[in-house]
Amino acid sequence: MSFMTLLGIWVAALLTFMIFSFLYKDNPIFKVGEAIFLGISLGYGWCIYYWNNIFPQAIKPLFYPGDGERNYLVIIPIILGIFILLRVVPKLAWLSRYSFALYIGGFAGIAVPTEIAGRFLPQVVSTMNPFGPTIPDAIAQIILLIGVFCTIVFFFFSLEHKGAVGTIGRVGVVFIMVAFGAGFGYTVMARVSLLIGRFQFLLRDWIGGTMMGGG
Amino acid sequence: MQKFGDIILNLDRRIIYLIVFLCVLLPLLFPMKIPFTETQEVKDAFNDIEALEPGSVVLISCDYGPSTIPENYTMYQALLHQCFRKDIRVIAMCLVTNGASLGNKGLKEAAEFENPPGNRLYPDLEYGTDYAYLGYKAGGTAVMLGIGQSFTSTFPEDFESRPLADMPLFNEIKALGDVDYIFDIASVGYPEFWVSYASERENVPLSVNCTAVSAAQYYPYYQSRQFRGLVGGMKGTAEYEQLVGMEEIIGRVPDATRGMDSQSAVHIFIVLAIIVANFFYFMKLRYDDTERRQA
Repeated sequence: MSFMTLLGIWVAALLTFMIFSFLYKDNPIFKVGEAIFLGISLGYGWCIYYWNNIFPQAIKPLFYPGDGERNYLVIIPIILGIFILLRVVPKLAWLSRYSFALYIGGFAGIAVPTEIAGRFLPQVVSTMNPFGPTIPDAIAQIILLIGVFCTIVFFFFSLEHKGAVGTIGRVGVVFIMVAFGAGFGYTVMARVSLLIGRFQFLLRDWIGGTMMGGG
Repeated sequence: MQKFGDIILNLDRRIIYLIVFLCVLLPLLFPMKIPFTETQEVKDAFNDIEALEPGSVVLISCDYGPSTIPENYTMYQALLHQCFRKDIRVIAMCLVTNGASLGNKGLKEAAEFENPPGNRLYPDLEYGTDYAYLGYKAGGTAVMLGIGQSFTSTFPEDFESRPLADMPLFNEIKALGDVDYIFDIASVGYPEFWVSYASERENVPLSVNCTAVSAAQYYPYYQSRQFRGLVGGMKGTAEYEQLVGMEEIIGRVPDATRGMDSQSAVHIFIVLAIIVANFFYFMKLRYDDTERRQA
């Protein structure tokens, strides 16, 4: 194992304990760990962003074209990008509107038909599938339809939630609660998974890899 | 009984943390190998990849960061081994800034995997012909639309600044429509966008591995078959590892599978804690009510 790998594992283990110290109570060691995490994340993000986006798509075509010709067309998006940054200069902030107008207009033009055709309609169609082919499938489909109908009624605020509307709305609440429960259960599972991941790192990479010489 | 109830209801949260720590730690030290079965949504994703012909191309989008390594990175490894074992070519990319290097690391790790040491499992794999890692590109949906037009114009270079146009893989695979399957491994909300901006537009089947937090919200897409398969969280990944046979491939129990004992232990503790705490809570309510009446 190289020295840098060894150092990396020790630093990672130390930072893990610094963050875990919050579980006892808030403390300066945790704050330091938190600040290091934020700083490194931002710095790393910036480098990745620059070398994967700004350099190959804005700077390289203009200043380092290699064997090809310089691509002056990239000046247009660069200027539009600079316009957005000018929001921080009050006198020139109005220029950002042109960039935003172009961006929002273009994106809305693409997004509206794409979302309707790609998500909304297929979801509606799958909700209204024919019952079957097996009895359990048919029962599941009926429950799904009841759930969708009752939940929509619960979120329909143009009628007072009294009588039949109120009863259907309350059934809708039951379905919403079941969905929240499923979401909560999955969230617990996800958080425990992350803790397991940290323990696996500490046991295998830190203790096993650096102290016991194995994996 | 009442005193014990008070202790339970006012238990220091640090004791609960300690029990959770032990529930995670002990099964990792002393594995119990609690059996688990594969669910249909995971089998569907696995079977789709298995059904691809050798030489087919799978696009894997690594839309996760280091925080979800236990749920997503392990799945990435299992999927890559499955593809390489079947001679399926892989194009990997990333839409999340802090996951860019993880995608590269995972692809190299799987492509150059040795078991036993010194014996490469896939010696014939060649970068640029059999697999490639495009790296990170900002824009999310704009990137999906971009690769729908052309890979080389959206990603002129790969993660290590090698021109895509020089790679044999991209002489054949020009755009997303030429890809046979999309697999999104995500800890963020991109799977929904992969449906509408890529899969539905280009008519390419899509499966998803997501964190457990997002799994519940994605079931409607599985139910509508817009996701051909859904691998949710560490449990889904463990099932996938079992289907791929990762223990045999890597020569040890894979991470997600190994973590399932701890997962089960913590879940049992949480369920018991909820039951016990609620029991004493209602007992206290009843006791307080009786006391109030007597007064």
